[in-house]
Amino acid sequence: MKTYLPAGLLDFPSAIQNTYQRNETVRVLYRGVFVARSKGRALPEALLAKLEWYPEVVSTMLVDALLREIDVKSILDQPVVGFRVLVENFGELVTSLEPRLLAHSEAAEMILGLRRRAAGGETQADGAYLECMIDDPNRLIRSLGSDEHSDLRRQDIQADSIGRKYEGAAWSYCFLESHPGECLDASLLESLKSSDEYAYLAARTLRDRQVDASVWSPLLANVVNPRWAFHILRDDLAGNQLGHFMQVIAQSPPWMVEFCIVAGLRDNALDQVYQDTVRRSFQHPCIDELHSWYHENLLRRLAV
Amino acid sequence: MRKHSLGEVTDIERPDWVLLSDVLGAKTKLTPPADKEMAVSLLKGALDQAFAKDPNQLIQKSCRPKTSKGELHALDYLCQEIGRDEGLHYVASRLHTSTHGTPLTSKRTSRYAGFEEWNPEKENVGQFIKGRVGHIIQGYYEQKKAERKDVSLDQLGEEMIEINSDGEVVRHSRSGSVRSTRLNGVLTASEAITPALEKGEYAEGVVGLDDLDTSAPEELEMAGLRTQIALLLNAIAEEEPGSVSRRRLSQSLEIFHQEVRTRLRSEISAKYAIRPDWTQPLDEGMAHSPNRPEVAFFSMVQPSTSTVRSGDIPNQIRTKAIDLLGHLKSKFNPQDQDILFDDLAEEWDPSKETLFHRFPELISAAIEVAEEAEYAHRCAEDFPSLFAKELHADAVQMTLFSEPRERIDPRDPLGRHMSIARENINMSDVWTAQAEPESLCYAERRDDYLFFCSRLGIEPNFKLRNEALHVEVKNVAHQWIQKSARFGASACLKALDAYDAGKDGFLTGVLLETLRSPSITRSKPKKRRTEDRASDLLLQIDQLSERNAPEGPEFL
Repeated sequence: MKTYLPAGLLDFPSAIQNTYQRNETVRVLYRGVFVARSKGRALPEALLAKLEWYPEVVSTMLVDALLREIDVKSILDQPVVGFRVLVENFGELVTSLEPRLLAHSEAAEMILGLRRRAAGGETQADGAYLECMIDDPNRLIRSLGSDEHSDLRRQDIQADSIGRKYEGAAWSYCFLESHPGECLDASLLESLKSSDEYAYLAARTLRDRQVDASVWSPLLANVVNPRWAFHILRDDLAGNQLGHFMQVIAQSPPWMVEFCIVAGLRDNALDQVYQDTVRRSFQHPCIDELHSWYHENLLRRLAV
Repeated sequence: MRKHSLGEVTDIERPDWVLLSDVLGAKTKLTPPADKEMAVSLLKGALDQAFAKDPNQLIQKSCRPKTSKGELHALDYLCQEIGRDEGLHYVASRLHTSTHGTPLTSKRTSRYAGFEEWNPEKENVGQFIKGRVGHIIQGYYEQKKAERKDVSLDQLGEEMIEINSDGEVVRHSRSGSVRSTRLNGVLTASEAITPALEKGEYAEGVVGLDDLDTSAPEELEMAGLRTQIALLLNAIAEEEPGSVSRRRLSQSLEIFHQEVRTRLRSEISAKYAIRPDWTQPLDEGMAHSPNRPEVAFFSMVQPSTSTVRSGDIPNQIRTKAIDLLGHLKSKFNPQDQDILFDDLAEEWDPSKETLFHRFPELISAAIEVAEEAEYAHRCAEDFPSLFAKELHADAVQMTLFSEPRERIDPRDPLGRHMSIARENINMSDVWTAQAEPESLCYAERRDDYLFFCSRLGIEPNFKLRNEALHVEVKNVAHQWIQKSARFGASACLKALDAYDAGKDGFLTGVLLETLRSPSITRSKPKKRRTEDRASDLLLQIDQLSERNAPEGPEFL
């Protein structure tokens, strides 16, 4: 069976948190939540913004009843972060969080994957989760099983994509992926540009098909999400737009740290990227973690 | 994160789902529904079906899970004795039918209600079946003993086979040599070799790397981890520096250290966790009770002074809170300390509001200090090698010491963060700077002095020269160490005492070297015997008597 999911997609950047400063940061989060709850106040915006990058802490606080779901609604409604919160204490949180997350096809795909990994194969409940991905043909195709019925359904979706290729980026990408021989038209490319995720995936697919960069490079012009900017830089798709993507990723210290690690940046190059990131993201909730990460990195260098 | 407890029934990682799916031969595996009741009912239904489909497989999978690595269950001995099919049939016929009054043992008869007795929220299916099988086999041997047959528990005992209440073989030996077997990770092979380590047999080559338990670190108990770490350290010491095998052993050691670190941190965090009831307002009936939640809190963070006597309870809580603030001085700046003290002493009415409600910052700081102290203590006591590593980590922590938040000008966060970034980038220069002898006498040329001042947020005094400067360098360094160091404070202070600010170069380099030195270990405080303490006390009394004697009988 063809693997549709491109290898190595990173959903959440965690390297920035793995420093010696982490315990202290977690403590600060606990302190902030405790103070707010004790005084009967809503969580401060800054604290909420920080908690977004610490889903495992949110998860533990929910289980310990230090936080209520309503306090962190904005966090739980994000598919990737919400999924991370769920995974950390699956048994305790599944009843309340899973229904909320299944509204997002991305989260549904991750939950199904998790359940299958735990069960060691396809499960009897797969159908319900697949239905939650109905609005994203690509996730559905990736998640369908390996039986005959699933193969037929996969073929149906791919056939459908011919007529629905302009309905949105997901259908456009489904068409692009399943019809490699077809000509690309401007409307299709325009449709793909409307989603950062599919713009990146399409660019990668076309590059892998040896299509000229002048065709797929414009797809990436609108990408503003640091997560996808990270993937573009990592996969060397940036081309002459390198500066643009470095600016995008510099707005998010957690993604920038992932990039620094993947790219193996050090010495002057690292110093420069660090300074640039601080300049562009000094109001980011993880700016202190960026300082800590850089510092630890520096100390490791010194130790050598 | 590592999960230690029995998973929730809705947890997909709970092994029951895989075990029952396997026995049922389900092509599509069972997974838990999100609803707890539905999950329990699905599990129970699946157990009935699995038993009906293949009882032997159910029993075998429960008693001999994949992780058992050849350990023997009482079932194996029964099968050896009466044959595999007979043994399994014997157990299966009693496993589910006991609701009809089949005696399980001579003591326990029909109290067992079959699979209805299984509560999936309390134990998983494997534990349940294994426990039941254990009882059935115990009953078999007890019955045989009563019938004066050949094999009995006593005889098994004579053969060094012991069975616990779960039907596990606790110990089994052959030819007179006692060999410990693993028991659900409780008794590990590594524990078995602990006595050898204690006797120093490892050094004589009796216990070698072959004795390393092959279990993953997360499967081991703390004692097992300790032993594994000791073995690895010995093995590393015997390898050539820089060799591949040494590197691999070091990597393994790091994995074990990481497991210990995570486990200790998680145990300690659980112990000092903020409790949800602390956020509740004070109940009027509770205000004057010695069971106020603050009492438990004080016994946790300040055990030596936590006793509450009958009388004015709210006032005692106030006094203890003020004492606590005194202990936590270093955690607050002087201004905050004054505000907190005034509030504690005058404005706060402890009979109407809890300490938690009014002073959550104080509570958090107390917990933080208690957690760090306990972590450092347990590391030093139980895992000296990890403690030494944490000292090195402390070097990093010290340099990571961040300036107080209030110094970040809210009107210019960009400028502030850029200046931190520049300082960080210049940091390697600070730590590697080599001093010219003449630089040590001028404040503006002393990178270490400027660094400490900057980190403490104080203005350097550029007028200082020579001796006066050297005294001031030691003074600011002392403050910085006290504020920054968690584990290495005493080593750093010792190095500071021995440091000559006029001759030994910059203190930064001296401190980093000190903290990186593998020789830093905290000497274990020896447990003193009562008689030693008593003789010390007598000696002190004698000395006091001598000192007091010339001045006359002041106590008379």
